[in-house]
Amino acid sequence: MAEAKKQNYLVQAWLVLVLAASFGAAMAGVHIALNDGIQANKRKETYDQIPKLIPGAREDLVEEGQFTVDLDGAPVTRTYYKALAPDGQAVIGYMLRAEGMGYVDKIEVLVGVDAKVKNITGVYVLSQIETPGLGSKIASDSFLDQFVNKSSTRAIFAQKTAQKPESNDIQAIASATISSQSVCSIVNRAVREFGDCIDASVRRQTALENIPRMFPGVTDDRVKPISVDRGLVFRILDESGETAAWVAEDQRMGRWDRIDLLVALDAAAENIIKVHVVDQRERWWKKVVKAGYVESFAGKKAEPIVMVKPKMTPGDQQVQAVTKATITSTAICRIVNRAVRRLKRTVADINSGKLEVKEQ
Amino acid sequence: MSNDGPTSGERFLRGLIPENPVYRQLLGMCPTLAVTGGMNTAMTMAGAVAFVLICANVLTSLIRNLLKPHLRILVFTLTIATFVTIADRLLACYMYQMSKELGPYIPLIIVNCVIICRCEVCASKQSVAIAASDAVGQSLGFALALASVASVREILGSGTFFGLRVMPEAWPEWGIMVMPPGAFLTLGLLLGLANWIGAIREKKSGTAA
Repeated sequence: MAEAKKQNYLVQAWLVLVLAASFGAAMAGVHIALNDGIQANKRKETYDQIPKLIPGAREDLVEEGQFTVDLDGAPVTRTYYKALAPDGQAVIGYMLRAEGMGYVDKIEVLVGVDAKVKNITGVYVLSQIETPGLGSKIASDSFLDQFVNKSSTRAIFAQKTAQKPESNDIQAIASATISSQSVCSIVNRAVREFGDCIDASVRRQTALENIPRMFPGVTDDRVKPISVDRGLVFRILDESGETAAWVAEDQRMGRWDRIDLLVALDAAAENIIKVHVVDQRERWWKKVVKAGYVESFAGKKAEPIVMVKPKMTPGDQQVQAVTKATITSTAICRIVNRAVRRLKRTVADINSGKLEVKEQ
Repeated sequence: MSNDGPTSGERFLRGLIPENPVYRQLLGMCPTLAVTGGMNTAMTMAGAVAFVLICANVLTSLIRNLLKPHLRILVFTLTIATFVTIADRLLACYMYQMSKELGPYIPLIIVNCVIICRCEVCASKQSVAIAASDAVGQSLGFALALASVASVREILGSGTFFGLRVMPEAWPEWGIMVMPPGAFLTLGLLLGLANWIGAIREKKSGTAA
């Protein structure tokens, strides 16, 4: 009996169990005692990075905020830092704090983006314990500098070879492609989540800035954003207060990056008045401009528009694609068609009283 | 589990040169190569190793009579891991920049063979006082070894010592010395030198006898 008791695993390992419990308690105590100091150090390091990751930012003109993202049904809070211009009003950029798994363990990253969340302005690795001499090089300037000026609306990938400046990819560290790609994935996810979160307000602001360029002479009080569940719609009033035009904002991927357009219909929503380009980064854009492709939509009826090949002669409700820029041309045509469809439906619903208009 | 064996003084002195962890036992090579690019990092590492080694040795010696032979390595590892975690957190709190510079090498002290070796060779067999003096001697020996490699590398590679300029401005910094090949070269040459001196001394004592 006594022998059996001696052979029992728990009796044999009592010292290990007691030590494990004591050490666990000791480490918990150390964590409680030191965690505030460690977090303060990390916070200081984070704030020190703001001027480096957001050009023109100052540490004293930063607002810390949080946003929530939905991860498979579970709400997760993310932290961001908003850098303000010296006037304390205009936003000059954001810095996002993100983390994800690397090759060895969690990597914590700070990502700087411009005010419109279109470009990455800098990346900094806050903490990592990747393989020394290989993966640990993800914290080096030569690797991280590659992220500067990359588009944040397209995914960035780590490639094994050197990349051309116009490419949105970066060159991975030799023998550390997993660590390199991990940083790319963390950056991609951070800007996508944040972009989705503030997209609506940024798109609205950008559209409001662009409408006066589309309709010269229109003052702010004559542009009425309409709150509907169908994206951004604006009613433009004439001097007497009557509806002069309807404008919808829409965007989708072109050949290289997202193309952002404003499409204006007349008061009756029967004809396209104008198509205005808010943002694009297409490679052959000069050809598109030279061909007058965007202008060719003006005057068309507010019905589906068909794009024909560059050598074909376009009919009434057709536009001619631009040579060497057919993907860009197709994207623009699709954006216009979708915006027109949405605008017509919205205007029809407003006129029939189905849609209650809440002007903001 | 008796106290037979070297005394405190012997343990302490042996750790410095005759049983130096790096030059004689060839243990702890990973930090010796990795963090000796400068004296600041090398000495911080030596300090962290000393803290873990002294704490682990003392604790192991205190519980030496309770150790089961087949579970002793598990107990050593558990003890070492705890003190390494504490050292890591202390550095992160009070020496944040240094903690970032050393990066994964502080958590890697867990697998530094010097510590587990001393627990096994000395602390699990001898009294607390002897275990403590052994830990201090071995820690100082390890610090001396790191300092020797780091001095050569920092002076030749950066022209500085503890970050302060010691070489003339005209000194062409040997970049290779602060890079990984410099660590291997320096350690190899210093090991060769230590063995050569050892061989000469042995020869002399042989002829004297």
